[in-house]
Amino acid sequence: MVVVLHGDKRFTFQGKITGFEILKALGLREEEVLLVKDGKLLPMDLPVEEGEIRVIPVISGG
Amino acid sequence: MRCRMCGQRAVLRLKAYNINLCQECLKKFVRRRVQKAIRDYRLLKRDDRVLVAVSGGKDSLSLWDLLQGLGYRTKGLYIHLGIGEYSDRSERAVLEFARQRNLEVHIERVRDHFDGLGIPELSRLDHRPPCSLCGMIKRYLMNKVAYEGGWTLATGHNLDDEAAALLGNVLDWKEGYLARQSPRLEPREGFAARVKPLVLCSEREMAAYAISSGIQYILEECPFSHGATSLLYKDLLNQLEEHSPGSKLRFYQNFLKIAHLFRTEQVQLTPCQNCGYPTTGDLCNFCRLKERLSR
Repeated sequence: MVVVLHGDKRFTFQGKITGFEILKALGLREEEVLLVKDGKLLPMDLPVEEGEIRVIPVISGG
Repeated sequence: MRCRMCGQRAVLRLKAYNINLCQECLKKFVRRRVQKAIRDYRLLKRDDRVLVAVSGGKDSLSLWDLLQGLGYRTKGLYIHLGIGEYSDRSERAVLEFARQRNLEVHIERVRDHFDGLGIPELSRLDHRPPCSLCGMIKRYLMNKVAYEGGWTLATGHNLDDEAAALLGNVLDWKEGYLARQSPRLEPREGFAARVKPLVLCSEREMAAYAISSGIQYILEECPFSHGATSLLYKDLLNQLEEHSPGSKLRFYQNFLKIAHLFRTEQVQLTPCQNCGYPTTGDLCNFCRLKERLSR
């Protein structure tokens, strides 16, 4: 099972899933976030079957 | 997805350049973009002493890391804004970054200048939006510390920041702002030189650089930034970028080619009667705020 943490929200995915598929499922644009697993950037095309992935927003400012 | 430079598995796809990069090559790529900006826009000389304005976020801490890595003599400048826990957490991130690398940080506290008041209290008392007040105070203090220490001031404005500011300036045709929007502002009486070495790096590239370099930056946003217009402009530009990769870079770089058209004669400035720093009136905005609050 893959757990995706996005802000204070938590999503779970069963089976293999890639970073690109996670972004699509969450309705996120590639330009606006990065995915991090075990403290490292997740290759977006790498199928992941288990573990925790954090969605890191890259847009900041005000 | 393979890295264009070394063939390892890529972690980042950069559509604007039509390349994929692995973690290590991404760091080299960002370093080269910074070197290109420094070279193309003549931002820094080898012997410049660089004061890096750091907030604890990804851009400014990465900038400090990059300039230090490129061999520049640097010092950090952190301005504690007095915005509750947010400011305390930011300060801790900056101090930890500096401690790990044995670097020096100068800390200014807004509360020390305004009788114990931070940005939220000043905003309420002066009936002024916190962001405009914060910007004015930060600009004043950054310039003062840099000018008095003989430093060149470096800020972490990235391509997305600059493109969003440009879009805002163009929408309203703010000619004065367009004239001053430059990767380098030259030093003059009362003003330190100011440079933006990250202008050729996108926000996403900088976040990827920070994560790949193990930089512990704060993800938390300033509580006053919610709903900021600049975020809307960034979103619009990213929508454009998705359909036409490289749009942000072209928008900004092509503006720089014609930016001289907006430059007119500089406004006549006189020394502030209180602090001596240049202003258009009798008192500068910083001293005027102090005066209003003292009444």
